[in-house]
Amino acid sequence: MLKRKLVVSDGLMLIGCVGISLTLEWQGLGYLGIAVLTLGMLSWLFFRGLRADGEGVEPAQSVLFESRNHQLQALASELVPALKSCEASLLDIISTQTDAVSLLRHSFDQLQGLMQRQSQCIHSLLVSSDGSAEFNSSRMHDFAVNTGLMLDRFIATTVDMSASSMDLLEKVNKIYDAMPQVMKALKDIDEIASQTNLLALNAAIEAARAGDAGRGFAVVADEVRALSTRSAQFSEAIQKQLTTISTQIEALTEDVGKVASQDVSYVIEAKKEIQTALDMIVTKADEDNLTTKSLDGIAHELEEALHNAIRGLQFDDINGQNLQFNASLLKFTHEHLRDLDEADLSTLASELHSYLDKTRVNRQTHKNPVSSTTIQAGEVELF
Amino acid sequence: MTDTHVISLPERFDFSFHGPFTSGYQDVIDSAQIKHIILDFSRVAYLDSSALGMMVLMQKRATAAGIKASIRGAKGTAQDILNMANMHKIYGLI
Repeated sequence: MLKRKLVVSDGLMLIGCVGISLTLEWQGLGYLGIAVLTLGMLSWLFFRGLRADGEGVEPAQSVLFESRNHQLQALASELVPALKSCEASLLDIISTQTDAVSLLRHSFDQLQGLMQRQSQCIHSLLVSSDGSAEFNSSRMHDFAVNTGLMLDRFIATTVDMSASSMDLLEKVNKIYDAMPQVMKALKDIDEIASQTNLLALNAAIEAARAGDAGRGFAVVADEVRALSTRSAQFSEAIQKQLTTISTQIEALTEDVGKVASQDVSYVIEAKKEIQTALDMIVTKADEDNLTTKSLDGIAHELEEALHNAIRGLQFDDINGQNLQFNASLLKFTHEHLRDLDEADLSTLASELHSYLDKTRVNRQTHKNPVSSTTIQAGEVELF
Repeated sequence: MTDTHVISLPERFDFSFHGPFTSGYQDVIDSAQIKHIILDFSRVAYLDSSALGMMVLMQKRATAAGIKASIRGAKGTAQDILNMANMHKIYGLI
């Protein structure tokens, strides 16, 4: 009857204590969970012994002790393998975590290197080939603007030249227009010469009729005739020259007209094309500018994220220590539970107590943020 | 009597129109009765650099004589060429 009661309540108590310890473990207070589990079980055994004492009417004291010892040993033999397997799991976790963390560290280092190379590539993509800080896009922009200005100047020069040609042409035309007047004047001179010639001829006839007395006059009349002939020859020569000049002016007018008449409509097309290219370049330059800024931002954020990740990895140390502590506590507990039959219960409790005290002092003097349960809490100690 | 004179330009305003154009505006300037010359571009479909040169020359002479010069009815290619040659800067636009 006593045995049956013991098994049921002990089982309930064990489940309760394990539940509490798991809850504490879950909260990050692993060693406290183990301590509560162990202390709870021990105190339950003690309390159970008192009750058995109160109820023990018929059996002798030695029989009672014998039976309790037996039960304790049975319990210890159940607990030891469970604790051992917990310890083994913890050690597995430690080893896995160490491997994973070293892999992560390596990956992050690689990531950082790749990121730097990427920024260099982007930079070289945006900066012009001669290494100056000026971006290609702004150079193209200047080039397009200069080409546009050059075309404007070309047009202005063409128009100015055309205007000057027209001016010149008008002046030449005025000379050309004056030609007929000169020709008319020369024709008048011809008329006068021919009349003078006729007059001289008449004078010569009259002089011949006068005989010897008119001989001197005949010489004068001959001279006048010669002069009129020369004057007519001069007039003819001048008229020939003027005709040549007229022809040359006509040719000049034609040539100047050709020079002044340039088709300028192609410049319109060229200017339109330049404007289109310019608009595209400006748009591209603006986009490049935005992209560069956003790339800068991304690089900064990436760097920060990487730093955070590496910072997070440093908590591996704390977690490792925590796990290590829990593993040693488990080891200690199951080792001592194995020796339960040789040692006194109270000795076992006091040993456990002093072990926990010692570890607690150790941890506090090591200044490790073991109490931290979040990364934020450990930030100050890490940086 | 109006003091504005309109010169109607042909469809093709080039060197071939040089004679009529120059004598046309020269007479107007010499008459000293006109205060405003308007170049009517409504028929013009094409003009070359000699036309632009004639316009610059006319504007200079008109300004020297205290006469205002304006452009009217330019469209299409003609308007593009006039704008490109900055004619709108020396001529008033109507």
